[in-house]
Amino acid sequence: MTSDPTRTATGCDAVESRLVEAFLARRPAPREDDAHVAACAACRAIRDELAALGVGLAGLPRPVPSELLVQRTQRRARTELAAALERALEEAEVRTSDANLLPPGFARECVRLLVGAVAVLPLVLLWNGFVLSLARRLFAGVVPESLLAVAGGAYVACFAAWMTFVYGSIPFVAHRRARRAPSEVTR
Amino acid sequence: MELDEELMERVQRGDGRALEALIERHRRGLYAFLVRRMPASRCDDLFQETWLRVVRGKDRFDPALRFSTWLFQIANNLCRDSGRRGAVESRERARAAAEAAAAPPRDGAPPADLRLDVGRRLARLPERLREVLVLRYFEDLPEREIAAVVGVPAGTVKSRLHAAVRALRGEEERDDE
Repeated sequence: MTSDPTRTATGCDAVESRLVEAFLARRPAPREDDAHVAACAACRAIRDELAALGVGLAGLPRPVPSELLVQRTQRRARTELAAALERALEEAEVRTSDANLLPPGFARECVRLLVGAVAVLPLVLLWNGFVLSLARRLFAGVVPESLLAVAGGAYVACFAAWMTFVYGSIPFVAHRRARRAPSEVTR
Repeated sequence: MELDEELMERVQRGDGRALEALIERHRRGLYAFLVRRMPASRCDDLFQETWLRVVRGKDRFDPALRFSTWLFQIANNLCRDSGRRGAVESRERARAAAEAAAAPPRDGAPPADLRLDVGRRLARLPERLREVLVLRYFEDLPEREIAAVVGVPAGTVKSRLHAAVRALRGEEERDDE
């Protein structure tokens, strides 16, 4: 411990600071302060204390981890890294499937359903035309002409609404079928 | 030889070999840092936990920083969080330091009583002083990097280092911050 009333505030403080910096960097005391240290008992004491401290610190054993600890750490860290990668991949897959609202195979299902719907359309139209003309013939003379026209119009409107529902549901049905397709494959 | 930061980039891509190489490269420095900061009984766990946190936080590693700075930052935070502070820890650390200092000396090492005394003084240093001193003196980190590890300005690191040296010399601690 050094406490010397003869220390000069400016010179000694600067020298002490440089001595401490050199000690921390494990360098020898700066030569530029040699003259001051030789003449100043307080700074000389600090230099000697720091030198002794350096010797003591350098003599402390440097602890080394055991091979077993290092190997165990490497193993655990690798396992953790593999798990982290797996989690990242799963998250990426979830993000991708969330981003792609249309599942793979959706377009193909759409086309298949549309082709089926268009293929039967002439038959459906012919059938409904036949129903309309038959009803017209059956009720002609029994039901007033204006009422027949209104009933025919209502039938056509209902038919159109039904067709809109059927054809409009094609994308939804296709989406459902496309999403179900992979699990059916893996089952 | 590949730089630490290059190895870390490979770890970020999931390369286990690069991770093993990093552990191998920093095993001594990190372990010595932990032993000088914490009771010996906690160091093995902290050593493992530090590396697990490196893996968990691999995507947060900033390649602009030095890997060693980041590694010591993680280890230092773990030491702070380990909850082994206070009188019990202090006593255990002092005992551990004394035991370590009493270990057989290396060739040309100073006498046991001097090592013992310095080891005890080091162990008794307050946490904030010991962490900067260990990083500067034993790990040779520059003040700028110590500031990043400890999370204080470089000027504060400098004043803490001087305070730590004063405390080791047996002077009363002055609050320079």
